[in-house]
Amino acid sequence: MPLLQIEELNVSFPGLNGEIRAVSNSSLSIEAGEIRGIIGESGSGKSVFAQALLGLLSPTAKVSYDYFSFDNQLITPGNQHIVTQGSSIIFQDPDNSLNPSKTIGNQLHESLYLHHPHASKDFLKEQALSLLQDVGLSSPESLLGLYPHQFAAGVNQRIMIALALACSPKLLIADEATTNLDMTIQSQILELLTRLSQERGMAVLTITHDFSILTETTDTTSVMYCGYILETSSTETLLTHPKHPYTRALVNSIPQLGLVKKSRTHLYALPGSVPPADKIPVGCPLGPRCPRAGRECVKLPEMTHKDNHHFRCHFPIEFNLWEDQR
Amino acid sequence: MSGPILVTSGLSKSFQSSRGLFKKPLTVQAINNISFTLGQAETLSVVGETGSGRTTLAHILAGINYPDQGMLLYKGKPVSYLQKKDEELLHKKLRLIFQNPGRTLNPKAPVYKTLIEPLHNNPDVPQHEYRKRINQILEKVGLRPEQSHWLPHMFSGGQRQRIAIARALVSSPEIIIADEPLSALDVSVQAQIINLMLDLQQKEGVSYVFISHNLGVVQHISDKVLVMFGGQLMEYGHIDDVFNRPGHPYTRALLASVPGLKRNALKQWRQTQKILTKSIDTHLGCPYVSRCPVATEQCHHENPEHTPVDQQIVSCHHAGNI
Repeated sequence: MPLLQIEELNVSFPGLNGEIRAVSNSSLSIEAGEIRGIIGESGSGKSVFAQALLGLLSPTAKVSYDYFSFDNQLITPGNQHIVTQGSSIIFQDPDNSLNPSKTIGNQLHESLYLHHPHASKDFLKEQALSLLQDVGLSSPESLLGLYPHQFAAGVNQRIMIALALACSPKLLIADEATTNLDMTIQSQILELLTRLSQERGMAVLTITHDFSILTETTDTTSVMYCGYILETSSTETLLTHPKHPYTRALVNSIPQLGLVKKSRTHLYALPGSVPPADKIPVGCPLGPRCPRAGRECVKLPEMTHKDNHHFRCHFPIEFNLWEDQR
Repeated sequence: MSGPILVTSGLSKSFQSSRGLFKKPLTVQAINNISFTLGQAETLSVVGETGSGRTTLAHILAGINYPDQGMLLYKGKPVSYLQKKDEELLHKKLRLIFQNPGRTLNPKAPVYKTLIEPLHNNPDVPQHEYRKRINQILEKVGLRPEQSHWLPHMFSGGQRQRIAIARALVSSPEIIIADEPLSALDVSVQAQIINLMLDLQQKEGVSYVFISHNLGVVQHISDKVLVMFGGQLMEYGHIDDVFNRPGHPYTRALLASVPGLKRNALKQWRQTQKILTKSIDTHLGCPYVSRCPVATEQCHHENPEHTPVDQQIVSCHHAGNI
């Protein structure tokens, strides 16, 4: 039984010319202790997806699903708080997510107090110190009285993670958590998330637009485009033998360090750009940009699967063909 | 033409930051002793973290800021900041592309107006040929000539970056400085822009100074790379030399931090990075000292010289014996 399972999630917002669909017919399941990736460009609905899971969307959003379970309990719109209490989210910009006018000791105390309302002050302080130690900050006592502006961005992101851990979540969602950080700091944060996931048996859902972040940390990755999950498979398979033309474009469009075969050659690029949310094409969302598109692509392809490889495409890339075209 | 197009030696620039009425202003050394050579149709990439002085370097090359010390040679002649003529000679042949194309284009000016403006300062093109030239350039960057009457908001992000490149190209520059030209774009669009930049380099023979944090892209497009930290040159050399045999601990940490495949040889450098709780403060000695795993007493007091190691230049006291 997976920790979180959601089938056929649809999210739409009211727009001037009818509804704007942000997430369409997307299913996801996360095992306990698994590190899961979602990759997509801006506007692909990956953040809305995560916020819909946590019930963080504004009341105007229309959310519907066929089946939703979390931690062996069936979730309905009435008991969404089960998910909210059992999971945490960290955002892109730590400097904007922390309260600048409170010391980090205060902020940790506040979040811990909400989860242990009857505990003593000493107990909460002890908890706060152990959380800071968990996220790799040495001598935490000296840090409790300091304000967020006194730290570097990488440390602030560690403090954000400590705050997120305060409720001992079963699921941690990292929404572009390393995007704004410098390269060296980014790898430290990714390693920290991997370590915490192993130590606490916590599932992590990493949302990003950068394939390189997922290559080392995640086991399974889903590719999103225009609100649809187009392909789900092990990260290794997606990198080497993708079935969907969009995944191939994502992998091949940005040169990976160490994988550069011939520098200064043309990169594989899809023509055009991502359509805006109110102009998503009928049928397969990639249709107009896809080099392999045919007549069938005006109909939305069903999610098909081979072994553990799920994809939504009428003309999936066959392995041999893919080797040739590379 | 042979010989390098742009040579800098020992460029330095500091800024004063006020700390209140009765305190001495704080001096921040934005860049310190930067030297490099850029050849015709070459690409030099500048790599470093936020606050490493990459943008200040770009501003000095573009004449937005003047250096405190150091020389800038354009085609072998020193650029004197005292004589306007000297400076113009370089700056007519040098153009910039910025990170966010949405913000650098005038939202109320149609594309042709944006493109005509650099031509007004360029006596080489007579006025009756403006229209022809603009259409040529638009086709070169993959836009249609009839789109020249459109306003910037009618284009997508990738197309806006193409307009920004067109604006740089219209006065036939020799050097283009691209300050993070890809980071505001969608992943599938970035490849289009990289392809365009490579095409233009082949056809027009422009040289690029490419500022980026994406090491994969840097390796793909550059000839030389300049690694900066805390305003100082850490390592400089040919891209293959630096990326295959990094000589500076910081370059190693940077390369090791790229999540990816088969970099086990460098993986140990990832763990060695110390966690910094405070931001970098100015002090004597090597700027990387507080995070360096091999730092010794000497590194705290003495700023390392630029020493040649193998084919590249490394500024580290322990260069060569790491």
